[in-house]
Amino acid sequence: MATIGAEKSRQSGPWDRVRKRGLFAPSLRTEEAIWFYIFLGPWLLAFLIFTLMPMAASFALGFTRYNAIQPPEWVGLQNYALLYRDPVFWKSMRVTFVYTGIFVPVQLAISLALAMLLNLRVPGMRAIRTIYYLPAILPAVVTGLVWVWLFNPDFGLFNFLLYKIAGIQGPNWLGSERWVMPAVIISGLWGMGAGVIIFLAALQGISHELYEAAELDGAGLWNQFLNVTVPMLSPVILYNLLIGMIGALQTFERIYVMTRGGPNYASYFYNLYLYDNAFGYFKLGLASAQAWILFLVIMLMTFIALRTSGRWVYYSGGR
Amino acid sequence: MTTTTMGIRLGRRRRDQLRKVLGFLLLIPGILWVLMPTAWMFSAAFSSLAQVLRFPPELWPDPWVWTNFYEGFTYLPFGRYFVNSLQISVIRVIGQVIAASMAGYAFARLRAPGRNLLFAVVLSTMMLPYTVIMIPQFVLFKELGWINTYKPLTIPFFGGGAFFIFLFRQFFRTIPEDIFEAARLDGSTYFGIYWRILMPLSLPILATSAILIFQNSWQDLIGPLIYLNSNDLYTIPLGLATFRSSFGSSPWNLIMAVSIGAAIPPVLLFFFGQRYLLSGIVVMEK
Repeated sequence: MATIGAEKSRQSGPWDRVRKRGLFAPSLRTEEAIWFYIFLGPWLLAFLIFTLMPMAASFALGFTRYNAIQPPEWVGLQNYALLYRDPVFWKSMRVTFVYTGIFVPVQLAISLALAMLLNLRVPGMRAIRTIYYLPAILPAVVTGLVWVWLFNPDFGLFNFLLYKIAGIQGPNWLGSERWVMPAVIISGLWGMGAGVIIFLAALQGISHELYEAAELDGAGLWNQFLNVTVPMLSPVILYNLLIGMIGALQTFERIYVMTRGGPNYASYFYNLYLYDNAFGYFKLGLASAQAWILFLVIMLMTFIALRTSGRWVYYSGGR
Repeated sequence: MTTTTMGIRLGRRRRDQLRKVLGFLLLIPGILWVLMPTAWMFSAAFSSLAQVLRFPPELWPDPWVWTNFYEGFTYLPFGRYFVNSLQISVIRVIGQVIAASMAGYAFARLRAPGRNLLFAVVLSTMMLPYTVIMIPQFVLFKELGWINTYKPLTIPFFGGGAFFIFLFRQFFRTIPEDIFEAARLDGSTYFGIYWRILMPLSLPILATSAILIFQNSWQDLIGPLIYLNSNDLYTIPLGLATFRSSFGSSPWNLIMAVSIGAAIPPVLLFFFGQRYLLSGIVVMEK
């Protein structure tokens, strides 16, 4: 992954000298800067109106009581204090963290392994890749619905297979406080094509000479993986880790159709509670405070990941 | 070539083959794992409800029920929802692709004070949870009278989005400088370079972004959930989410029939665009 670092300075093109300019015309440099801001215009405008302003507003709303009908009323840190004392808030936090802590590493490992298998030059690989990417194309709502049904304790496929193969009576997956989280993780692992594609693209960018050199030095497959593949992929691993983590902390759609947070809040994800507070009870101030807590958590975790990444991420070309 | 390297070459070929066979065998359980729910979807879409609810389950529909699709798509006006979803997604793809390619060009090729800082801002918006801006956006759109229209689901995206701006920027940076210089010598404007030179060269990136944006938009649930109240404006995901609760017991055969219908546009798009998708994402590493 490229970084934002300075780029090689562009040499002044020959047209600089060729082009004749009027006395009061803006210099080429100014003209280029003006065009930069013209081309960036749509993003800049959308960013100011739909991101920056709402960000500031939601930060402020976090210190108010607000129901979208009466004007907001300043309450200081009360929302944060309320959340601090709210057992459901902590439960939703724990549910989300347990899910993220298990799901993200497992997904990362499986995606990488899969990408390496899908990178083999075997006839029919194009079709196999499409099959593997299929779950990622299906809308999350559809995936959620399919899994509700597969996990059905009475006529679902999972308990049928458990019964048929292992001879055991399967649990009431989505109806059981103990099994709902494993079920949610399993269903999440079904649709991980996007991470696989990014790994696959990166694998294809690794030069074959590196493997040949490693092999001439007597490195076996495992050592080639550890000393060539992992270092060369490490920027992409970091990217997939961060994007996976940020996504997992915001899980919403699939859970909304699968469990609505139940049973007894056992799958009450952070954003589900936030959504209920905002648009179920119209506690918009409280929900804003919740959103900012999540934002701070994400920033903190991203910061830690980036900070420690210097030790294991290798940028070729010494960026 | 010396005999030792010959030996390594030969051994290597055999090991390569072994690796391929092993890898292929490892892929098979995964294929089954991925296809199992899909097969189940298809089976249910053609089965009677009684068969779907039977235990032990039977994969092969008996009898084949073809009316599930008709019934599913008429119980709630899913045909309508389908058109709605399509309309929103197409508008969003066009707006977002244009904005992202423009911003990508600016960051890749035009120098201006503040560029690096702004690019850092673009990338850091990837960290921002939607929920942080969700509530003030809702208040803003309520004031503007945008509730129950498609504007909140399309216009905020006309900024391009961090990921896609990044994708375009990375791609434009791989295009040789000479092309730009030659174009400038011929008297091309910056806009001319963007429109007549860069756009035709960016087909893989345009296709990649269009596919991914379409997928994002097509499956969005939270946006329609917040902003759409009247039934005839509903999108497919919103319709499916309400479908389940509007029946006493879940009519799984109808739900699966509609789900298959809902999956057709993104699957078709992926099928026809997949050769661009991989090459499009490769530039990210550059």
